Amino acid sequence: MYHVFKGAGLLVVAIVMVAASCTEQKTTETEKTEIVQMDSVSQAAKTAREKLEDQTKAVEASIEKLDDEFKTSQ
Amino acid sequence: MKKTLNIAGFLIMCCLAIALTASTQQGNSESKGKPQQENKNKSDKDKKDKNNKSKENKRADDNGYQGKAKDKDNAGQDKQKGNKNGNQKDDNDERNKDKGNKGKYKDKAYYRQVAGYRWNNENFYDRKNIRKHDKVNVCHKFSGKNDPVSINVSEHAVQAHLDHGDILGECPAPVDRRFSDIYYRNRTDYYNTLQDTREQVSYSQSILDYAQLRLTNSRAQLQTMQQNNMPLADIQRSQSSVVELEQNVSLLETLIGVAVNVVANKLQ
Repeated sequence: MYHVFKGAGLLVVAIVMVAASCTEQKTTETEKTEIVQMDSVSQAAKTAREKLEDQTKAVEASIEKLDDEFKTSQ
Repeated sequence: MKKTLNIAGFLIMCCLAIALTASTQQGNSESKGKPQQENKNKSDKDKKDKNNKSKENKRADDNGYQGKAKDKDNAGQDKQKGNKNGNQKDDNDERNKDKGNKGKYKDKAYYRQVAGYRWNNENFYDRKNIRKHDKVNVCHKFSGKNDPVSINVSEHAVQAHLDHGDILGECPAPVDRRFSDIYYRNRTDYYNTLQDTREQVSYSQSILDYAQLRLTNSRAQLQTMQQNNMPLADIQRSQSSVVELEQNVSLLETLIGVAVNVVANKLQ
């Protein structure tokens, strides 16, 4: 009887551990998918920001040039 | 003999369970090197932020909002405020009254004035000073069930965030930590990148508005030059500058549209 209980106990412990590891695996997969998605959006946002920054500088330079031009011609 | 077998069986079961758990956590432990670096960077950044904050607090305590450095930085804003906002003096008085009680970033009047600035002929050349802003930590809350996230925003954007329900300072650690540290770090970086892009969009939009205004004026000026029979070379030079600005403005408009599409609705 003692041995039966002991064996059953071991079995329960093993089942619980396997179940826990399966749940963790599922969370890890969700996590990985979300990280990949976030990375791709971040990359797109960074690229868009850099281009925008450069173009804004170009517009600022054009405004200054225009101001100088009209100053000299007046 | 039976006892030995029992112990061996138990050990094998334990080993199996440990091996299973370890294999699922492999993904998390794979990039342990990177988080260490990120942690270091983050702690450096935090230290810097803390230093900045303590300096600002000290300045606010000593001089209120009328500190020399702040005045220099906000010279353009003050000009604009003077031109556009008739209530500027009242707001300043209000600010001075509150200086002993409130922190710099809790002054709503201050942010109402600086958050919605637009460039004009008077303050366009001060834009670099105005843009040279401090960053403030804000705990950003979402309208859905998502956990809040700590982001670093420009001081010009703080009021908008506070109005939206955000809180100054870092967010408390999430109660239900379903994901790994790497996930939470990635999430913070992600929202910081979105915030930076949004700030750039706002700044670029201001420049675009000003450039369009300047273009309209320049076209009128060109017509006047032609009517006044100015030298042809001068007119052509001015015309080429106008065309250059037109092209740059058109491209900027397109890029703003692209950036807005990327960040749209992601910080809500």
